[in-house]
Parts: sequence; structure tokens; C-alpha cells
Amino acid sequence: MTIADVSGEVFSTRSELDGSGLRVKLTGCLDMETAPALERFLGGLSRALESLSVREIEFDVDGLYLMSSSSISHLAVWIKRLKAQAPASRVRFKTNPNLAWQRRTLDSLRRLSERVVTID
Amino acid sequence: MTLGFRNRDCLMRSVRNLVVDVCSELLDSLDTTQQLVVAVQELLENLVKYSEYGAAELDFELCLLDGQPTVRIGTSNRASERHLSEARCMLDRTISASDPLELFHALVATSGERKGSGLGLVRLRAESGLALSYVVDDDRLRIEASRRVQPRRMEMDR
Repeated sequence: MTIADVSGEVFSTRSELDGSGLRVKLTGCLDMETAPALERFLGGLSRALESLSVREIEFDVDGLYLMSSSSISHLAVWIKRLKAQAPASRVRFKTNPNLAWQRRTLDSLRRLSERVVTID
Repeated sequence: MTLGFRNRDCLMRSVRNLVVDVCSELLDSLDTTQQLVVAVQELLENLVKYSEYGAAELDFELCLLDGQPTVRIGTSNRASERHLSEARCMLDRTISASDPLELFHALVATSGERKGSGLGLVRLRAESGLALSYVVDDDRLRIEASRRVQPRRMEMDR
């Protein structure tokens, strides 16, 4: 099963399977106009994960410059669902040290489950 | 600067980019610029989502307040009775929170369980360090957010 990436001008994703892990690069800005694309992408990701033997999902947000609250909500809902459906899965956010907002914002997602979510 | 919106959500990115340019030029810290861009984005999204009758404004000002360099962000919009009531409730909760970050984490944890999360307003205090106040006048909501900032030192000052 393939994962349907987002290829918008303002926001895009690139997913790569790597052994038992999946690497997803998020690039651009997540505002109220691009948040629905993230929501659809996460829905597709959930369906794909059901048939893939993936234990770790890495979100590389190095090139993500903004995330507004609607996208935080979408990620929170997705993580809660993943935790319930695949408790052994792990989610890692790879952040950009020059974008301090990323750690502040993503920390709220880590707090949903410190066992599941880590931030690098 | 004062910007008026009339169902022009396409202007959001231009406004955001303008705030980035102004803050990058005039403020000392990239982190402060990022915090203010987050705040402006959240306020703009609320204007686009909840403004009734197409009338909404955003002001962004870097100024001296009581002799201190300050950023002041204001929004003004007309809204339905239901949205005004929800906004009042979330603003009161945000303003009175002794630990806004804990409130933010609690709201993230319950994401998806309600419509209109209020996350954006809480984020203004929790992540952007802004003090908030608001006034409701008839069907118009005015929100003001402010905090101290550190201006960038210009070559001529050194």
C-alpha cells in the first residue's frame, strides 16, 4: 500500500519506508488552509500503517516553518488513535534547532504519551 | 499597521510575511519573531473563522509603552452571539489561568472532543508570552495582546 503524499505549494510531505520505520518529511507552513491536507494525509497514513509492519514513524519537521492550532489538533487526534490501535508504535519528531517554536509546540504532543512520542 | 479583512483569507500569508519582515528587521531575537508570527497567525485564523458580516481588523504595533519597547496586537470583529459567548468563555479561562502552558497541554490532550478548540487563544499566552485583554461591545469583540520586546541594536547605536 502506498502513502498519498501532499504536494502543495505551501505545504508538502514526503514519505519513505526505511526497514521497519517510516520517515515523513513535513515542509512548508501548516495554517488553516493547509491543515485539511495534513488531516487527509494522516488519515491515509493510518490506513497504510494497518498493512505495513512499521514500528517507528519519524516526522522530520526541519523545514516546517509554522503550525497553527488546527494542525496541532489533527496531530493530537492522530497520535491518540495510533496509541489506541498500535500501542507498540513509536513517533519521533526531528526538529530544527533554529526554530525554537517547534519544541515548545510539539512538547504538548509528547505529553499525550511520553512512551509513544519523543522529540529530537 | 492596521489591516482590514472582508472574507479575504487569501491575505493571511501576505500579512504573516509582512510581520516576519517587520519583526526580523526591528527585533533582536528570531525566537521572539517566531512567537509573534504564531500569535498573529492564530488571531488571523480566528478572524477568518468567526467574523460575521465580513468586517474584521488586525493591528500590529511595535511601540514604546511606559517607556518600554512593546508589541501590541489587536483584533476587532463582529461575531454571532454563539461565537461571542464561546470566545468570552475561552478568553476568561485563558486570562485567569495560573499556568497557561498547563491549560494548553490540557486542551491539546482533549483535541477532537469538541468543535472550536480555543487552542489558538491559549497559545497566545502559553507559547507567545502575550498578556491578553478583551472587550465586547454589542456584537463586536476586541482582543488586545501585548508583551515587552527587545529591539534590535542598529549599527548607528553601537
